[in-house]
Amino acid sequence: MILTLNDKKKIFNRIKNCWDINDLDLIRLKYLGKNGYIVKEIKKLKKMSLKEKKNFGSFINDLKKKIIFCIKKQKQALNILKLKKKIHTNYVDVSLSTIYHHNDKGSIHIITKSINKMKSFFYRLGFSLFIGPEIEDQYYNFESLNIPFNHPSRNKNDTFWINSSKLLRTQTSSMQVRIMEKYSPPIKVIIPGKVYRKDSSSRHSPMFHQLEGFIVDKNVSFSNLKWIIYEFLKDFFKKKISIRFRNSYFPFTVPSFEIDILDKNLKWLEILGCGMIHPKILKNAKIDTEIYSGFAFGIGVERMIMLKYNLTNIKFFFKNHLSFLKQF
Amino acid sequence: MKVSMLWLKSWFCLKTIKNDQICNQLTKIGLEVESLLVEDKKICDYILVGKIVSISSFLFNDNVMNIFKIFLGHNKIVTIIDKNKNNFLNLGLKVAVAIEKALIKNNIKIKKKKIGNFFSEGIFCSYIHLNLLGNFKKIIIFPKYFKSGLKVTKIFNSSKKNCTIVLNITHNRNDCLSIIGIAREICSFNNIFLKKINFFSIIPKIKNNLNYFIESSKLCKNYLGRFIKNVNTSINTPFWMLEKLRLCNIQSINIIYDIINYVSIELNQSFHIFSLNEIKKNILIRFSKINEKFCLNDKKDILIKKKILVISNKKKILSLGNGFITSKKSSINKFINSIYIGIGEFNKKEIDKVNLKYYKYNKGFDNNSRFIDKNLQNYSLEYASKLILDLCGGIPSTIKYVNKEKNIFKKITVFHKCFYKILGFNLKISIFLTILKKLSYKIFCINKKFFKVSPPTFRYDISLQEDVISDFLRIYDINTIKLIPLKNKLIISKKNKKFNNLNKLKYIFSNLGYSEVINYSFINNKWKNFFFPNRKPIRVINPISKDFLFMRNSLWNNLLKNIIYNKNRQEKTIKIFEIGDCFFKKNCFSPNFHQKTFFSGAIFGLLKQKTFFSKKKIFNFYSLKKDLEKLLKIFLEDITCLIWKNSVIQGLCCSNSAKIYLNKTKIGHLGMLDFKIQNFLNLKFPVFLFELFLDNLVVNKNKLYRSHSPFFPTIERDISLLVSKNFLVNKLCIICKNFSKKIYNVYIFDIYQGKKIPKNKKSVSIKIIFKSFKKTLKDLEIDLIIKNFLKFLNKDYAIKLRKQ
Repeated sequence: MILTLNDKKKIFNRIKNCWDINDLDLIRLKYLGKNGYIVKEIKKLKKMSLKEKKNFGSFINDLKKKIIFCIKKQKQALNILKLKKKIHTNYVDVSLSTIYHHNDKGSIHIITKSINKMKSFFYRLGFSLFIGPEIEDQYYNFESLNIPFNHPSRNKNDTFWINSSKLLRTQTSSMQVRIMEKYSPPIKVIIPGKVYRKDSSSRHSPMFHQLEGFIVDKNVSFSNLKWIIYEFLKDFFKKKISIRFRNSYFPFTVPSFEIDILDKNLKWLEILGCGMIHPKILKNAKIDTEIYSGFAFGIGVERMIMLKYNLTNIKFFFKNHLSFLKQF
Repeated sequence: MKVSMLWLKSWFCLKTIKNDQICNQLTKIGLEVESLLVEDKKICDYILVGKIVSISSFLFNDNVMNIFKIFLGHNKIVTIIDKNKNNFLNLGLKVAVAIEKALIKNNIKIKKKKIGNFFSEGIFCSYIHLNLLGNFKKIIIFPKYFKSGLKVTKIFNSSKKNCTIVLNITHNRNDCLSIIGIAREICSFNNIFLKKINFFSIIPKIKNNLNYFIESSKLCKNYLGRFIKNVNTSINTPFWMLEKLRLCNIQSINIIYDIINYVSIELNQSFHIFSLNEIKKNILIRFSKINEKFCLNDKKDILIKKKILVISNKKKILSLGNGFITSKKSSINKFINSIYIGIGEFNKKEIDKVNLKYYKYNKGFDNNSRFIDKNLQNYSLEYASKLILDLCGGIPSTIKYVNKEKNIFKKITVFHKCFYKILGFNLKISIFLTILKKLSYKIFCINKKFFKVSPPTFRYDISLQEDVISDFLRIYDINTIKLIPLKNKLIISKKNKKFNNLNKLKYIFSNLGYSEVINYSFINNKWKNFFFPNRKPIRVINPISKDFLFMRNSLWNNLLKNIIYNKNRQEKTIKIFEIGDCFFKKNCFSPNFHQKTFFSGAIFGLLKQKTFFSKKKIFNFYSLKKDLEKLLKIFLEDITCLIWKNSVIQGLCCSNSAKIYLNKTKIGHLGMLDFKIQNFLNLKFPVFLFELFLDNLVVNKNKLYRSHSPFFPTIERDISLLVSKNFLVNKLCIICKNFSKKIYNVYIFDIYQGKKIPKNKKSVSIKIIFKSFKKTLKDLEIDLIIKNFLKFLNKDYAIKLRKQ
C-alpha cells in the first residue's frame, strides 16, 4: 500500500503536535519500532518485483529518514522546552543573606594586630625580635637598669612583687641587659610584651603592652633616634601628625625624652619614652662605651591604638566584648 | 607637686608672659605640667563671715548634735546645727557660713532644716563647698580682724586670678620641688635674672648650749641648729600665709608648722622642729639599733628596723629620717613655748630608705624628699626664725654649725667628641657654653679637645659628661635638631621562631571563626581551684584588688569570665581563644616558677542559629575537635601521630574529655566543662574548652615529600560492622589502614545503636577507599582483601559483619 501525500502529512503533523516526550516515544515505536509501520512495509518488499522494489524501497527509506529526522527535531525542541521550564521553577532569591550575625567571622585582637604592624616596620630596618619572661628577676628589672635599691620608682606602689627577689616586670627594658650580655654589638632589637604596673584608671591599666627597641652600634646618635621615631610614627598613623619632643628623665637613659602627640582635642598626649642608653648600663653589660653608643625607646601599644582609633578607656582592650573585638 | 602661679611669678620679673606660656616652657624644659587649675570665683552672695557666739548641744536619735549661734553683723544671729564635733570651732572664731538661699558646689541650695526642736539655718563652708583650689574638707577660718557679715566673695575676689600649676617632677630634679627651683628654670629659659635675695641675720640673745653627736659624716653634713624660747604657739596663722599655702595644696596645721612649710616650699629646704624640752640638751643623728621603739603621733608604737636614719636624744627617738615623721612628745602643739629648729644635708639614700618604708606615717610636712641647697641653708634658717619671731615672738639662740664642710666644686670634663657621639652632628662650642652659663654652671679651662665645668650647688644629679649634655638639651630646642637616617649595615633581621609560630596559630584560628581575647594575667581566689590541682598558683604579695590576687595557672578561668560577660550582653555564639603565659609552681614550697606559653580556646552557645537554610544547633564536642584538628593539620602538616585519649581531668566532664598526645608527649587537653561548674556559673549551654602547650608543639621539619605519582582511579567499598559498645572506633580505622597497602583511606560515615542491634553492640559503617600507585585495581583483588579483612577482624577482635 502506497501512502498518499495526505497520509504522509498526517504522520508529520502528529509528530509536530506531540508535546509530550512519552507520547513521542509511542509514536516512534508505532512507526520505527520492531513491529512498526516501516518494518512492516519493508517486509512487503520481498514479494515485490525488482522494479517495484526499486521504487518502493527508496520511498520507504526516504520516509524512514524523514520520520527519524522529524522525531529528533521534535525531541530537541521538547528538551529545550523542558530546560526552560526547569530554569523557571528553580528560580533563587539572590537577595537573601546567609550571614545572620557578625559572629560568623573571627578576629585578631587589635593589640596583636598593632604589634605585628610595628614589628613589620622594624623588620624592614633590620631589627630582630626577642621575647622575655614576664616574671623577672629584680636585678634585670631594676639594678641593671641603673635603678638602685632605694630608688623611689622601686616603690611598692608601682610594682607587683612575687617574692623578695622576683617581680612582674614593669618595663620591657628588662631584656636590654640580658640581650647585651648574650650578643655583641651591633645589636638591633625589638621586644614586644606585657608589662605590669600597680595603677588603675581610665588611662592606666595594671597590665599593658609595650614594645621596647634598642640599638647598640658605632655612630648612633640622637639624630638617628629622632629619624626612627618620626618614620615609625608616620608609618603607624598613616597620616600627618604633630609630634613634640620633650625632655624627661629615666634612670636608664641620658639624655631622656618623652614624645607627645597632639590629639583631636588639641591636647598633648604622651606616647613613648626614649633616649640614649646610659653609659652605666653599657658598662654593666661589658660593652666598651668609648666605641659604642646606643639608644632605646619604649612604646606604649595601647596608647598608640587609643590615639589612632580615638578610644577613651584603656579597659576596653581587656573586657573582650565580642562586638568590640570584631570591629577591627 | 602643686605650686601657686602668683607666688612663682613673684620670684621673677616677666610682665608680658602668659600663664599658658609658662606651662609650655616648663613642659619643654622637662618639668611636665599636668594641668593648670584656675580658681572659679563665682561665690554666692549668701556666704558670709560669721562669728561663733555660743555653743551648746542636745541629744537627737542618740547622736550628740551641736548648736552654734553665729553672729552675722547688724544684730543678725543664725543657728547652725552640726553633727560633727568640730573641736577646733571655739567661741569667738570667725568662719565661713552659708545661710539660706546660698548656692554651693554642684548647685546645691541651702534650705532651712528642722532637727529635733531646733531649726538649722545654714552650714559651715569648707574649701570644697566653695569650689576653691586646695580641695580641703576643712572649714574655712578667717582671722579675727575680718568683720562679721562680710561677704566671702569680697575676700577671695582679688584682682588677680588664682592659679595652681600641677607639675610632675622627675626623681632627679629634687631642686624643683620648690618655688625657687621652678622660678630658676623659667629664668634660665627666658634669659632673665631671679629676684635677688637679701641675706640677713637676726641678732641672737642666748647661746646655743646643746650637745650634738653625728654618727658618721656620711649620714649628715653641714648641720645647723637653733632654738627659740618663749614662743606663743597658740596664735592663728595669718591669712596671707594660709592663702599661699592653700594654692600650693598644703593644709594648715599650726602656726609653727605652717611657717616651716612656707619656708621649705619657697626655698627648697627640709627642716625639722622639735619641742626643746624633749631634746634634753642632746641631739644625736644616728642609725637605729635592733628592736628600737618609736612612739608615733597616734598613740601607736612602731618597731623600727635596724640601720634606719633617726634623730634622737640620749634615750628616745625624736624622729625618723631628716625629721618629717616626729614622735608625739617632740611635735609642736599650742602648749609648747620653746622650739628647736634644725637643718642639715642628709644622705639621700638613707632618706629614700625611710621614705620607702615609713612614708605612710608622715602627716605634717608636704614633701620631704627635698634636697637642701647649701647656699641657701643659712639664709632659710634665719628667714624661718624671723617669721616666727615676727608672728609669735620669742628669744632666739645662736646658730650652731656641726660637721661643716668646705665648698668643693665638682669638676666634670666634657669632651667635644662626646657631643658628636650623642647628637650626631657638630655644634659650635660657644652656643653650648652660653646655655650652660644660663644654667649657672661654672666653666673652667676650655681647649681644643675638652672643657671642664662645675654644676651649680643645687644640682646633685649631674655627675657625668652625658648629664651635662642632657642638661644643655633641655634649654636648646631639640625639635630643631635634624633628622639623620640610620646607616643600615645590612643586618638581616633574625625572626623569632616562637613569635612567628604564635602569629601563625592566631591567624589560622581567627580564620576558623574564633576571636582573639587578651585578659589580665591574674585570677581571683574563688576561681583558682577550678582546674589543674597540680599547678599551684603564685600569689602576688601586693595585689591591686582581690581579683588580682593570684597569677593565672590556666587561661580557662579568664575565658569563662569572657563567656559570662558576652553571654550577659546577648551574644549567642561565642568562640574565643587566647595565647598567653601561665605561671605556676609544681608544689607550694618550691622556689622555682614555671612560665609556660599556652594556647586555649572556648566555645559556647549556638553552632547554628535557625535560618531559612539551616536548623538551630548547639555546639558539641566534635565542633571543637573539628576546629582543633584543622588547626593542627595546617600547623603540623601531618596529624597521623596525634592520639586523643579519653581521661579524667579536673574541672572537665569525665565522659567528654581527652588528653592530646603527639609522638608520646602530651600537648594538650580538651573537653566539656564540668556540670557543677557550669551550674555554678549559671550557664545554660555546655562550654567546651581546649588547651595546647605551645612549648611541646614542635613542627616536624624533616618531612619527606612524595614525588609525583601517575594517576590511578580509586575504588570505594562500604561495609557495616558490629562492634562492642566500648570499642574505640578510631582504633578500627587504624587497624583497617594498616591491614593492606592498597587501602588508601578509611573513614567512618555512620555509627548506629538501637533497633535490630544487640544491646551491648553498635553498628559502625566504614567507607574504605582502595588505591594503588602502580596499577588500576580490579574487583576481584578488592573482594579478596575485604574477605581477608573480615576474617582477620573476626579472629582477632570478634568483630562481625552486620547482617541486615
